[in-house]
Amino acid sequence: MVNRVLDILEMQGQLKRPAAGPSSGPQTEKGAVKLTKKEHILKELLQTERDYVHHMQNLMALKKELEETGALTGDSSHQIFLNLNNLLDFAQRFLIRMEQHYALPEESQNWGQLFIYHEEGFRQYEPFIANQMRCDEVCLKEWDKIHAAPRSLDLQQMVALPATLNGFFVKPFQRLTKYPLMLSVRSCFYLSRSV
Amino acid sequence: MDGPLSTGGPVAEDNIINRRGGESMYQTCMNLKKRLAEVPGFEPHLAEMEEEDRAMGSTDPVASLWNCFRKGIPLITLFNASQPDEPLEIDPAKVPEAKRPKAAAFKFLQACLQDMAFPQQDCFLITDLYGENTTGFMKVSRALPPQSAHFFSFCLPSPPPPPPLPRPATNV
Repeated sequence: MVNRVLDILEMQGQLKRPAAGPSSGPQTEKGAVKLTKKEHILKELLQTERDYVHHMQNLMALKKELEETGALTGDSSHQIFLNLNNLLDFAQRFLIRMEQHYALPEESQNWGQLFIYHEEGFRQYEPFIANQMRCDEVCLKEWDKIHAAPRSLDLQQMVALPATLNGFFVKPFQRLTKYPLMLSVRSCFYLSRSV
Repeated sequence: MDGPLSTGGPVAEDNIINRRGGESMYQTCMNLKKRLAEVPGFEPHLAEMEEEDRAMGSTDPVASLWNCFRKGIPLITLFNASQPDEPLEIDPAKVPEAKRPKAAAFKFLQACLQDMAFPQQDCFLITDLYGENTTGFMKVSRALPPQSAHFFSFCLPSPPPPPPLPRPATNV
C-alpha cells in the first residue's frame, strides 16, 4: 500500500528524481558475469524459494477467501489449513534471511549454518505435513463448497480439481526434502575445491 | 514477455499453478527504500533507519521499514508529500508521546481512504502494521498490481501539477 501511495506521488510529479548516475551502482556485483556452477545452485535455491513462498501465499489467499465467503466453517478450515498462517510467516521470514545471506560476500556465506540457526522455525512443518491425510479427507468432504466459492479467476484455477488443490498442500513437504539435496550438491563443490 | 507470442511454439498456460514467484518481500522493501529516498522530506526518516540498522548490525530491509512505518510519523510525511490542502499533523500538545505512532498511522489510513480514494479492501489494518505476522506487513508494503490501473484512472483527473518533463541532460 505504501508502494501505491508512492505511485500516486510519482504521477503527481512530487518525487525528487534521483541524479542520473547511481543507478548502475548496486547491480555491479551480479551483472552479466558468468556464474559458476555453485552460484547457479544458490541462485536456483533462492529463486525456487521465492516461487515456493509465492505458492504458499496463494494458499493463504484461498484460505481467506473460503472463510470470507462462508464456504467453510472455522472448524473445517482449521482441519484443512491447520497452522498455515504460522508456516507462511516462518517461510517468509526465512526467505528474507536467505536473501540477506545471498547478498553477503561469498566468503562470509555459510548456508548450512543458516538452516541450523532456524531449526526451531522449521518445526512449523511438522504438524502441517502430518495433517496431510486429514486435510485431503476434509477437502473431499467439503469439495463442492470449496470448488464453488472462489470469486477470482486465480483462486478458481487453484480449485479446478481436487488434485490441483492437493498440489499446493504437498508443497511444504516437497520443499523440505529439496533442501538437503541442494545443500549437499553445493558442498560437493566446496570439497572438490579444498582437496 | 507481456503478450502471447504468435510463433506457434508451445506456450505455458498462464495459470496460478505454474506462475513464478515474482518479487519477494525482501526485494519489495529494497525497492521501496530506494523510492522513499525520492520523497521530499523523507530523508530524516531514512537517516534514522540507517542509524538504527547500524546500531543493531541489521541488514534486513523488511525489519527496518517495518519499524520505520510503525513510528507512524513517516507515513504522515509520505502522505504530506502529495501536498494536500490540509497536511496531516499530530499535535504534540494533544497526543501523548506513546500514542503518537498509532494516531499517525490511523490518520494516514483515513486520509488514503478519503483523499486518495483507496479501495477499502486494499488498505492495511492497524493490526497488520503492529502485529508480528509478516503477511500483515506484506499488505502494508506491497501494492496489488491488478487494481492499480483502476486506481490511477480514479485519481488522474484531479491533481493539477503535470509531471516534470525530462530535461535534456545538460548537467551530466
